[in-house]
Amino acid sequence: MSERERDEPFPGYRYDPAASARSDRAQAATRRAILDHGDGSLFDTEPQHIDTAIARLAPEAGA
Amino acid sequence: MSLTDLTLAQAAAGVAAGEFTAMELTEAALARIEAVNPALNAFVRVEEETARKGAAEVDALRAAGGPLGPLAGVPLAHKDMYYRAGGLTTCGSKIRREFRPEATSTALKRLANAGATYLGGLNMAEFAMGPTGHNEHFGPCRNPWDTDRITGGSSSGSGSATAARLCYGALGSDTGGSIRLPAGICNLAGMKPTQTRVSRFGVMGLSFSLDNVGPLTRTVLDNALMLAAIAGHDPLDPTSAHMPVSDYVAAASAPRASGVRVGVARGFFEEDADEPALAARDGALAALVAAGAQPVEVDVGDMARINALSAPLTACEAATLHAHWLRERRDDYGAQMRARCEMGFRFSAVDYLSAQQLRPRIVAEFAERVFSRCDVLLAPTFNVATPTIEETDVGASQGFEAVISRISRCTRPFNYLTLPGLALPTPEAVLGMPGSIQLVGRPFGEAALYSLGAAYEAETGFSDRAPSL
Repeated sequence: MSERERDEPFPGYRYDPAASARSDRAQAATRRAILDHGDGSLFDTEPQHIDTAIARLAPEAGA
Repeated sequence: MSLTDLTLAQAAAGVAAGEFTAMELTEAALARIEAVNPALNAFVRVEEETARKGAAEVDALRAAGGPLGPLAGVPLAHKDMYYRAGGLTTCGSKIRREFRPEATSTALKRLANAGATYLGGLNMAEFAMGPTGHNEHFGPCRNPWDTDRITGGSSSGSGSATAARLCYGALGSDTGGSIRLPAGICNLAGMKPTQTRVSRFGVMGLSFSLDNVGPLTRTVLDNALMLAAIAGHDPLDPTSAHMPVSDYVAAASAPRASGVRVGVARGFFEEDADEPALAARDGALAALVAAGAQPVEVDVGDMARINALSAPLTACEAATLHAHWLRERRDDYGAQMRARCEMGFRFSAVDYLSAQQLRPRIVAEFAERVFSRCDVLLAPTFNVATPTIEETDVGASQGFEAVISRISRCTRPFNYLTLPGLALPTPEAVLGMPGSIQLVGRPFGEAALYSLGAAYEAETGFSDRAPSL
């Protein structure tokens, strides 16, 4: 498999020519943010915890 | 006063009291649409027959002495992504131009149960992705305050039609600002509720982590009436919250600013801003203080990082939802929609899951940082002067992300943070166009926003202003 093929989301799909640079910029910003925030304390955290997190932060149920 | 100048609450009260019929309201709205929509392109489809049938049912029910819902006889229209069984729902796209869903969205069912009638589908960004109001397939939606300028998006038609008095209120959807931006740019109240507060069953998805259903209206009370009709758990949407629904109408009917601590969001929200937009924000803060609120300074932290973390959620989830059509019908997408979806294929699974994993902690940290000091956060909805349609007609050309990011930078963080945000017009215009602030609350704190928003509305009279179209 060539480098180009490995980079395609589906066989034969052509990205817009500027897609690479755009994606690189967005990905770099995201990875910087992850590095800034992520640490070992997140090891046991699952993404689904968002529901319980916001329920805990509600002013009060029904308020 | 024309019937179309009434607020949603006045229209509902008038039908209930027998001052006019639902049919009279509907005919007034249809006549207004016929006269004004060609200049705005707010409706992609007007459904006269459906509207008249709904109005006749309400009038018959009233004549029979039956119980009327809180929105009985009020003609609404919605972003064209709310499914109605057997009815066209284009999602602003070429791909779904002939799509007829099998099920009706819970939000529309609940509005119908409250007595509202349906005028038709409203223009929107293709598949709800885009903050300006451009649409390659249906043409740009135009702002009734200046038809050369953008409406904001992606709920462009919802903003334009409601502001221009073509309907009494409209549903939009908000993944990064798509309710608050058109509300703000068109001088309306727009509520992005807490993530999961409103069922998304039967609503076209863009990003299941960030999508929200909510209303755009002329007044705060109108907004509360619509949200009250649609909020609450829905067994058909297992992701919808079980949290009890507050009495939004009571909150909006009891304006209160006195003693409310309003935190002023600076830093990120003031960077790269046009000065008149910040001056308008300051005018809004002064109005809240005049109404009795207590201003406090708060440190909101690094919001640019939050926007960076929301990027893989939007892009990867949109790419996942659109993968099939991107493979099969690539050329049927507009250039910008396609380019933004493509970004989703480039993030790694670890990028995406890290952004998800960090979310609960970041939400909790933000809440502790901000809501330990204030009750409600005040930020601009957008901090730039409203551009023209031509200036922002960038498609997927070089640098298009910077153009769209500048418009939505102040709204996007609150989608990642899950928080409710109520966009309201500023007292002063921004270079002749409406300006807007957003009041942001704790999760499920919509009632507090309505109460403060109603006090702000009484102080500023923003809902008395109307475009001259």
